[in-house]
Amino acid sequence: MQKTDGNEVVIPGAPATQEDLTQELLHDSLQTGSRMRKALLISGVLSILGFVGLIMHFASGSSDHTTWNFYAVVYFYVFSVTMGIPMASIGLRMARAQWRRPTSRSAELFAIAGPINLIFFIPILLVAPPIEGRNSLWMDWALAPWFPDIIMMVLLVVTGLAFLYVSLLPDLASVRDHGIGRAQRIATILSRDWNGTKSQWSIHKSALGILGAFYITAYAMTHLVLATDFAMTLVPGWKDPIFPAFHAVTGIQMGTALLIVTMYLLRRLGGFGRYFELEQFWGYSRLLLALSLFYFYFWWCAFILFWYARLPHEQAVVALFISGDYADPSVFSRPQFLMFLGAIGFSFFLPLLLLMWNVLRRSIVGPTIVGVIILIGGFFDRMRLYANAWSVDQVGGHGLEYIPEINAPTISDLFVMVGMISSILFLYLLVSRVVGFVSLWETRQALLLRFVKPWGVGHVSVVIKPE
Amino acid sequence: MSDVKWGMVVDVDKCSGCQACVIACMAENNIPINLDRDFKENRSIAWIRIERYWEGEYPDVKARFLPVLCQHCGNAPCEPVCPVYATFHNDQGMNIQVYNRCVGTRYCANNCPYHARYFNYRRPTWPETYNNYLNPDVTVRDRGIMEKCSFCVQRINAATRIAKRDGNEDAIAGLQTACAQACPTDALVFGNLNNPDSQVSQLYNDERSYVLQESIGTQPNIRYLKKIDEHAAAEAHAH
Amino acid sequence: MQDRPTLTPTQINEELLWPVFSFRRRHAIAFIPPMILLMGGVAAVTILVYQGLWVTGLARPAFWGFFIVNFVFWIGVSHAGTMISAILRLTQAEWKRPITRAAEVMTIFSLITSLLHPVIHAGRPWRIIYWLLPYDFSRGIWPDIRSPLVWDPIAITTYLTGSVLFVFTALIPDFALIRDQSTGLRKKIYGQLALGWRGTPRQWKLQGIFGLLMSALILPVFVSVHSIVSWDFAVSVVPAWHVTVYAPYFVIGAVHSGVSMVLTLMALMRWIFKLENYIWEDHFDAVGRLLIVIATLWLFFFFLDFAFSFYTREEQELAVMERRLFEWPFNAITVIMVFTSYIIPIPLWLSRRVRRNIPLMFWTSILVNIGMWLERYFLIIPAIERKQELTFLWSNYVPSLIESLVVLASFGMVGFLLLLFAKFVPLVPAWEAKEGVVFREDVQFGQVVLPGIIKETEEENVW
Repeated sequence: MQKTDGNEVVIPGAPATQEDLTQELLHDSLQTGSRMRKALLISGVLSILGFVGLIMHFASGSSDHTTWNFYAVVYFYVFSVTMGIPMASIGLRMARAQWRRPTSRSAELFAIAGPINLIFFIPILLVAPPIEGRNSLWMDWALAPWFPDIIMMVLLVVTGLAFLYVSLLPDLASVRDHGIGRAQRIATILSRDWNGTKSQWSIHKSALGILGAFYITAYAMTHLVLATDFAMTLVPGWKDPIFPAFHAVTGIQMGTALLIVTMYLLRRLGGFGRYFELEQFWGYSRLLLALSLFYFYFWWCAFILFWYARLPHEQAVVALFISGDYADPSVFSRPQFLMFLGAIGFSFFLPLLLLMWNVLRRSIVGPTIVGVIILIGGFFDRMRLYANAWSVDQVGGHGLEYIPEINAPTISDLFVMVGMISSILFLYLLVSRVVGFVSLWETRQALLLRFVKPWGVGHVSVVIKPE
Repeated sequence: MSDVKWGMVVDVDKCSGCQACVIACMAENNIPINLDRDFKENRSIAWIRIERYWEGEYPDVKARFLPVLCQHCGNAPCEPVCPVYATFHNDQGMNIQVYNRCVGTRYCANNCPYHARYFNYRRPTWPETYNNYLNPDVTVRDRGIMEKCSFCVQRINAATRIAKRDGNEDAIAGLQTACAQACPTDALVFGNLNNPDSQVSQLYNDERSYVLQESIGTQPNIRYLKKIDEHAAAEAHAH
Repeated sequence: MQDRPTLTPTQINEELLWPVFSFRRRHAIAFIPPMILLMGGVAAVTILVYQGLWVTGLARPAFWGFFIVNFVFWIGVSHAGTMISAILRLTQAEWKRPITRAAEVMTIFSLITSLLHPVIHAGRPWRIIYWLLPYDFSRGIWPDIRSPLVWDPIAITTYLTGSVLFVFTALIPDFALIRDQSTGLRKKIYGQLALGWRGTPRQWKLQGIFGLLMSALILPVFVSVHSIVSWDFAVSVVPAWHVTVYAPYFVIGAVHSGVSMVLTLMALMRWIFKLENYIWEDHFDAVGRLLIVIATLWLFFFFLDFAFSFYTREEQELAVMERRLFEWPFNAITVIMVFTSYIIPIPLWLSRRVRRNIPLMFWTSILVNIGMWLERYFLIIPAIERKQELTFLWSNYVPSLIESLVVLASFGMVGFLLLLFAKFVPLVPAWEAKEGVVFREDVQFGQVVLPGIIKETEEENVW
């Protein structure tokens, strides 16, 4: 316990001491209760559904990409959400926000979804139409888009897993040294020779920094190539350089939303109330508000141009993704417009209205509700983009000549969605059996770097930001 | 009068590049005399200009001529960008430039895909002997404002007045812009597009007709007639 | 740490307020270069307005030139003030303290400077001023709200008003300080400006709340201003201008050049006004780190814009890219721009030693702004030189001496106004400096001392 100016340091409230912390995070939270067993079992079984859905899709025999439109919706939704969560944590780590420390683990654990995303990416590659006769970033390169895109995906997944592993390392060592049972055996293998020496910590710190920067780059570039190759290229006349950035930012937005929901669930079901406190929810809800504003800004930047310049090929893009067919007199019978309303309503207007309200923003339930809303809105948004873009069967041309019919989703799309989500959940819970949902070393450092001391009649907190 | 929609058809096949239209337009519309200096500085003003493109390699070259003037777009990119409504659309399909209102931001010129708008960098001057030749019906534009083809709006206004006075439409039916009047090969045909009997509306729907830079969606009231190229046609047949 | 002196309030008053109470030689000499530039500009503008726009290099099809490029540049620089103050205030970054005011004031002056450009650039400047006012004189015609040139003045004047309010509220405690230290007429004037500031807890609280509120309110304005400036180009149908990424790209470029300009300003302030005790190497370090992130984001958007120029492979855009990449002088401009705004400074800034080397930071920040000026030129000019398919009229824009003088004078004008401002108010807020001393808390960790910051807190249980 450190001292300043002769004043005894006060840390009021919960996780009081380092010993308590170790007890809670290393022993109590690693016990696998019956509820956890059930969750593991159910998610494990449901995981199979994903593969069933895939087989059903392939068995239907259609290699026409327009029938895979809702598969693309599901895939890009899950991909955007799960790969976006670590971004929220890495970004805050770079900004040296101390409050994010207890939440980092639950965010970064989502990097475990990488392999699942990789597996379900393969059908996308197989059914996506070739780039001949289409606009493309790849200059008619023979291997494009399959080769560069799979490389980018692998890079992103591997970077995510590497980042996760490095951030787990100190905790794995703690489990090795203090844990029990199977977790300890696994941790002994994984933790290698981590002893927490000074040089190890300094390498650890720079490794996290470099891998974090690398993840951000890989994330941005993967979204760039995927959004271009599997959405923009399919629609003739759609040139929208901000779209990849929009795609990446909405991914982070949905990721942050899911993180808040995860935090809430862990708080309610896992008993981690001490670690996911008001301050964490407040911090993420501010981030969520900012990201929702970005959603609108990036969308608007594209829309204002398409609307103002009145170029025919861009008006067709607006019809495809926003308004629907102008010929249809009833606005609400156009599926494109309904999808758009759902997307912008749930991703921007509702979150803005709710989070603008101080009482809701600075609460635990408020951000959670908004998180759920944004997850719904995000699905609408991916539906608006991919279901429409994948329905286009026109190849080449200066602009889209007609607004295509959207192929309805099938039961196999639902299976794939349930399967992907369950398998990610299964892996998430499985890994949490070894390392827990809250990072021990991060939380310990947070306790060291921040404390409350008396000041006049009240208290002030002292924040230390080492170089 | 609102049942009138003025338009023009430019037959590229007939254009010989003689520049008579350019001169006629200058005389009619009080366009200052373009000096050497103006051409060198790219500041010459010509409401209608003949663009000349070379086709083929020397010595087997052909000159191609393309008369370009304000296209009087139905969906004009120059209009919404003007902050002071100096350019707008009237109910006769014309794109109007109001000189007095123009402040010279030159945004319209930037946004015009046809390069049809011209800016007065200098105060216009004429040799003193020319002063009596200026057209009294047309404003002389001061420096600092935009100008462009007006479809000889002064002639349209005069014809409308005469038609109203006489109670018949003869004056309107025979109306010509200066450029169309001067064209020796009748490559330029001006008239009322709403009158199905007029030469212009028949040519307007000719199978050879096309719109300049159609992909921008400007919906102009001027259409062009394709060059009839025997050589190209023969080649197309061979394939 | 090595140079974080502990200062007493009296010392702070003396060291920060000397330019107000005396006029020393170094301050006077600093006035000379901007004055020379400014006089050149005044002469140039006089000739321009008297003679007409033929004295510029503008010609068909490049109807916009240096003035618009410079306008965009200065609007960009003006983004630094809010960037530094509002965002850092909302995120409670402690290191913002000594640089906020200089940055905010630079915002105001560069906004004023940039506003002059569209006016003198118009064909009839004497009309644009009152015809763009949203007031229906006797003409019966309002400005056309559809035109981006109407959005511009609305956005910019909103931003200017907001920034002035922002600066003024932050100035009130310092006005009061000067009032209390002076006599006679000066006391009267500053007394009026201080609006009865007594430094009561309630006043401090209101001032703090206003600062936070203004930060949150001004952020959307800050983003919208440069977006709207970018839409001057992007909503047009000129192929290489009509790019959806322009708005965020312009905004991030603006922040990049603006924050670099703040670095330049910090080094100059430190040198002219001897502010070594207030502007530390730590601050250069922090701004440098921030700039690495900003510059990389800028590079990402630059890459998006660049890569998608080839996306459709339409001849119009390829012609613009050919001009940008292969034709003199744009081939040189492109290379210089990429090197000066990213490739040279960013790897240097990655090193902590460079970030703490003030002369080096000064020169690299100037490099960035050379690059960012050229970036605007790179974006705006080639697109109209190679506009649309009618190649008959393509031509190249060559700026004239008059235009160049005006561009130089704009730098002189901002410098002159800043120096003039420093004569009346300290460029480093005295009250922030004092608050910073109170809120510092060095914590002993074993053998090292780490700097800590005290934050007011309401909750008991804080992570």
